[in-house]
Amino acid sequence: MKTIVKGALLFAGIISASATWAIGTPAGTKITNTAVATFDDPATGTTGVTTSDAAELIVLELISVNVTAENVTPVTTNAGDTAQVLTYTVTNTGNGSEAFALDATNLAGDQFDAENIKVYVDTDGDGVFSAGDQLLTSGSSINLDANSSNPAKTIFVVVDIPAGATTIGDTAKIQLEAMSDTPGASTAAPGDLLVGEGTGVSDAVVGNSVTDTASATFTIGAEPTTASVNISKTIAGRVDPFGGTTDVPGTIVTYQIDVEVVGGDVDNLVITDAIPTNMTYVAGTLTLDAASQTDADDVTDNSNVTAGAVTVTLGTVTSGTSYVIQLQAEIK
Amino acid sequence: MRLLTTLLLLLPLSVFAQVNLNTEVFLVAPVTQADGSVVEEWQDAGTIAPGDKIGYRITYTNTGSEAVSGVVINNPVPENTTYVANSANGQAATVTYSVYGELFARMQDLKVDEDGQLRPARAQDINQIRWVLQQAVAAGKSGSVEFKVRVN
Repeated sequence: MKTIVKGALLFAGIISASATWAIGTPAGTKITNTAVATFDDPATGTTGVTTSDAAELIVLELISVNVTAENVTPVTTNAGDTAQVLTYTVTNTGNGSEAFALDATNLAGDQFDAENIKVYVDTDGDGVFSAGDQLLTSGSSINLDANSSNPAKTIFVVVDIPAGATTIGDTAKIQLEAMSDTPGASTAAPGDLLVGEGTGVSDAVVGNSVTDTASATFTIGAEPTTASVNISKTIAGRVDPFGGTTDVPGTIVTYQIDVEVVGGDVDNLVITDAIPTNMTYVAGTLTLDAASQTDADDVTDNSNVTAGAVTVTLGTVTSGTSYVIQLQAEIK
Repeated sequence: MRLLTTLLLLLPLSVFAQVNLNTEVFLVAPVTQADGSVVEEWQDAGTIAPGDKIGYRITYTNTGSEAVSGVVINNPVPENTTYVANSANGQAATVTYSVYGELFARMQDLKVDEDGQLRPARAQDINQIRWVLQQAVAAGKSGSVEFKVRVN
């Protein structure tokens, strides 16, 4: 029989093996090896069995950390903005419980530096910078247990953007560094033994990544603009009953309403103009951009005249569009 | 575990055994030589950490007065370690492997059923190694077999 097939049990074994590989054998684990020999025992004529002594090793703590920037593309910000957030993940890639000091700094090689840099731990674990998240004071550290269900923590670097950083496209690079707090680790070479510094085991071994960094970038974007509607009302002309321009009963006044949308698009724009007391709307005089509008609330156009007011519904209007509304009213 | 229990029960019989086994463990480290080449050296396994390669050497000795034939050495791959491909060998020994501990075959003949698809067994699938000595061990003689694993 040359082909050996093992089904589900073997497959399950492979899964668990790869799962433990990712974290590493926990510090303090004992690795035991025992060999067994069988042989034809000439003394008894039966099969003899002998076992070796158990060769034991204790797995030391491996100190290793990974920092990953979650913002892979630059985060757009603006001059003077406060509490701008970059998100990082710090993972204990060793095999013990280890404290790591976190340090966020401005990097060189960019156009401006962020100010008031603060480091927060995502205390509530929701992945979003929020009020309950814990501020790490400078030089303090976080503890990550590689053997827990969550050997990683989300870290927020929160900064202010200087008021002078107004050039669109300028960038600020911020680096987050995580460094093992174990005495001697930061200056040791990979493979070095730190005697008496292990967690849950006597000694620790410095891994290839006892310190790790990752950086992310802020970039200055276009100033955000707020859509607004400029509206003004003027008297475009008047004609009194005598052909003059005096304001007397019977004078017809032409009002002009200028509407301009700036800074962004708006939805549901409705212009309402109340007819002044002591004046009467002159039927059929409403125009929008010089086009006659019906007075009725109909589908012909979006204008509507009631006893006391004129309403023009403009709806969604793109930025930069302007309208001229005219109507006439007679002085009672 | 059942295997171990069985062995313990058999232990009283083995006082007549003429074969002794001794297991030694080493840290297998690459060492750069004077000429720049890198050679693996078996060093004292004082400290190990995940990712380290360790080597086991099992020495068998016939302590009896007669030659012993049919010597078979079994060694489960220790927990929390992964067998290093092609690292098992021994003088005049045929090496076979098992992925489950029951059936043994040469590495190239082992297949694993993964999601209904047969694929060749890989080193990380191996959980037991067997050396079958091709010749009898003469009285007073000894030899050794060895293998390497990586700490998970």
